Amino acid sequence: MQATNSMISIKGVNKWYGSFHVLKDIDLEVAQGEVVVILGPSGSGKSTLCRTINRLEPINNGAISIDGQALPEESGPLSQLRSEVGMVFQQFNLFAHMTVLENVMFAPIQVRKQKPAAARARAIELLDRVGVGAQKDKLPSQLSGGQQQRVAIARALAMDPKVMLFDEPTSSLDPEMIKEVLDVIVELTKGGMTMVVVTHEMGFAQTAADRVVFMAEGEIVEVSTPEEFFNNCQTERAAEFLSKVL
Amino acid sequence: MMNVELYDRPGPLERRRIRLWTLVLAIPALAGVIWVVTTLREQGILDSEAWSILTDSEVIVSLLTGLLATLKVAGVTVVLSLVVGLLLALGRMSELRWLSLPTRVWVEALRGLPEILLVFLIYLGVPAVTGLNISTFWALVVGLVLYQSASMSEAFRAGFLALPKGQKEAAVALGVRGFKTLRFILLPQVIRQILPNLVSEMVRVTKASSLGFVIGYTELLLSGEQAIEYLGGQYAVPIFAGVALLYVIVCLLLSWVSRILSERLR
Repeated sequence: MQATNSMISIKGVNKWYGSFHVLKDIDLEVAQGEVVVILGPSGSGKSTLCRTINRLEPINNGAISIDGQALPEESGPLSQLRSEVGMVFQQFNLFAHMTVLENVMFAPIQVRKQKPAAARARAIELLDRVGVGAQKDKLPSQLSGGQQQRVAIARALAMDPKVMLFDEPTSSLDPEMIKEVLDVIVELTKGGMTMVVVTHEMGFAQTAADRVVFMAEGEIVEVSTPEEFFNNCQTERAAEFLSKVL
Repeated sequence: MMNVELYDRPGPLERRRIRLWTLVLAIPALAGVIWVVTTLREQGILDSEAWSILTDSEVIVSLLTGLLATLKVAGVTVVLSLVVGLLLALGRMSELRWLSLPTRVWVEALRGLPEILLVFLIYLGVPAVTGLNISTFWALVVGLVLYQSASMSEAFRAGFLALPKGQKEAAVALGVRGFKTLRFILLPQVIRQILPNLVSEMVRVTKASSLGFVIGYTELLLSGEQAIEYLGGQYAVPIFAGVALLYVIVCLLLSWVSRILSERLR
């Protein structure tokens, strides 16, 4: 697509788990400020694709670059690049032995060498923004799933990332908490953040996505706008998927 | 304390049966206690004269000196074993096979050896091989560390394996480097998780330091033995009882400290 302002560029990516071909010749460009939602049945490789973008999953061949920079091979530059890519996990993964505030302050202090006072002020601001400021001194285990996930989003935002990756952010939440997390993510899309969101929330894809990527069996089957995808999808596999989830 | 409800609450019939069996079992137990006490008394072992030796200042000083020596060995052994044990655990979990395989063999082999063999091996082997003399203190410490570090490395490894994978991934995804992830994210959680294990390892070390006896390092047990040799066999039971009491006190203190620590760490 737009080669000039491409924030994430994925070219010819293949990945195998043993003999299982999880990602097949994936090509995807995500422009700066664009929100791309990846849909597809479970086992289609969409989570794996999301995790290859910051190399939590190594790939067998192909090339991925972020903001024009190829994913580094060496651990130092790779860590540097990861610090600019926010990631939100299905299982929240808050540091269990740290308070909410400490969770958000940790990487800015340890990775960005920010002064504790500055990191603290920024963390409190972010926690207020996602609506969990009152919980700042609690441990993650004392929070509901929805609150934990909002803390996890604040933790990622504290690094001022160029890109945010969401790997099924609402899949392990109780139904009544899904909305509070999606509201925070939708709020972010309005701020011009480049985002890749793997999700099963069709409503979210319809309202928040700039583009929808549909994956099945390790391949990108269809890429289109949400209106087109949900009203007039081009492939049989997408139609079959939509008939099951809508 | 948490009450583990393993059994259903007993009904009236069961309660009667439990009372009956309590009575039936109490009789031989009581008889046993009476027999032990009368035997000890007949042998003159319960004489207050023999037991008053435990108030003798020289005996007290000698036992406390022994206790201090025991604590010195145990303390140094525990600190070294924690460090070496952590390194062994990290080595064994490494993705580099040239590192993980030898570590694994080393740990498995050493855990299977009796500590006394290792202590002797160091005490007699080091001078024989290198021509250098090794003090009884260091022979004991090194022998115990060889075993104990292997044992602690398994405790560490179990702790690491029990951590959810997401903890490391979250740190890595934030750009935190490997060492800091280990130091600030994984290790604090692992230590909290395995604290009860580590304390029982410390209790083990304290008791195992009595192996100093066989190479002539004067720790608590040997100082008790020396006091008996000096004073006479009629004091054996009181003095060994005093020695035993000191071991138990040290171990109870360790458990108490660990309880406080784990409450503080939540």
